[in-house]
Amino acid sequence: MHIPDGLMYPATAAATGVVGAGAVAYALKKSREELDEKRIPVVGLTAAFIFAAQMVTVPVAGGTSAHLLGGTMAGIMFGPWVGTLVVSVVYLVQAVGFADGGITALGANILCMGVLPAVGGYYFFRALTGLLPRTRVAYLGSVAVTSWLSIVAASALASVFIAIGGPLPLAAFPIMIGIHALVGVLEAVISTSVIAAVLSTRPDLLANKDRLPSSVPAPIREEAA
Amino acid sequence: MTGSAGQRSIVPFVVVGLAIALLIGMVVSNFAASTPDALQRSIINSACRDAPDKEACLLEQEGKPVLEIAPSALLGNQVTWLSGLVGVLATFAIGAGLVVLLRLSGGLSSGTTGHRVE
Repeated sequence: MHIPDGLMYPATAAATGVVGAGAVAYALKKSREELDEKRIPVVGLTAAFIFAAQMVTVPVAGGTSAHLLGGTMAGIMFGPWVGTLVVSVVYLVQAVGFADGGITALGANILCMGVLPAVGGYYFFRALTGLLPRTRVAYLGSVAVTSWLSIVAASALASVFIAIGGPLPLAAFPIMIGIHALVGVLEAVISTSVIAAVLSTRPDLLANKDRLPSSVPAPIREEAA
Repeated sequence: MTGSAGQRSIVPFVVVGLAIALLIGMVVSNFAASTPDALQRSIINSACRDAPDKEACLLEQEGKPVLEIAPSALLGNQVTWLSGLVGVLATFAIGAGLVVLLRLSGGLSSGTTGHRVE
């Protein structure tokens, strides 16, 4: 879903660039509150994992391929703003070093695939897990649903940027959402698998400790500030 | 290692995780699909929606340079493993370096509690 250069009008690129930069600045500020020293290397690790995972595109259907975005996964792992920071680093490296996503579209890409899934996904996940029993199935099911929904929402926002704020016809809107409804399944499978692995091995590294399944030892669940 | 997961060393977790990321970026990425991604497919399909010969239009659009977006665009497909190596290590260094800078500027908490619930 990386928007390349030239797919948005200059005014849209400038506006999304300013808002995206503001969001990253706010994420830097809020990260001081969300992150402890123990998880510093895990931030770098998660960014590196998302970068690598995004290199692997798999066929989904109809001659289309897809890869993990990872914004919601990062938001659930670290909290909304550290999650935003993690994926922003990925999109920065991809745009500057690998021509994957345009430099002028960096702000739009951070908003679509970073801020929306990490922040929106985080709060949706909290709302969903707040309604469900504290079981492993409910926790991981919430990860899957939130991941799928975040991809569809991100594609809708990207469609606004390229079809209303760019030269593409409005017909791209339903096509984008339709295809990404399918792509979201891949996102849900990978994100849920990664969170399940962390939940099994190091649940203490996950944010949302008050939402962890009751099978996780009480001292870890009670670590929430 | 102690009984509490909160007191366990983070090093093994990070080393194993980084090895997995490098394996994916350097080896598995060589088998990535080359078909257009969902954004590219949406552009192609919307461009060919009303074309008289849809099949020919799709073939033509899939060859357009504007749609050639790939992680290996800078380094070339022949050295995907190098793209993976450089990208994974650079992303790790920048991600961790950024939060180290935050810590040096006096920001982060020193406890093990992690995220503050909002």
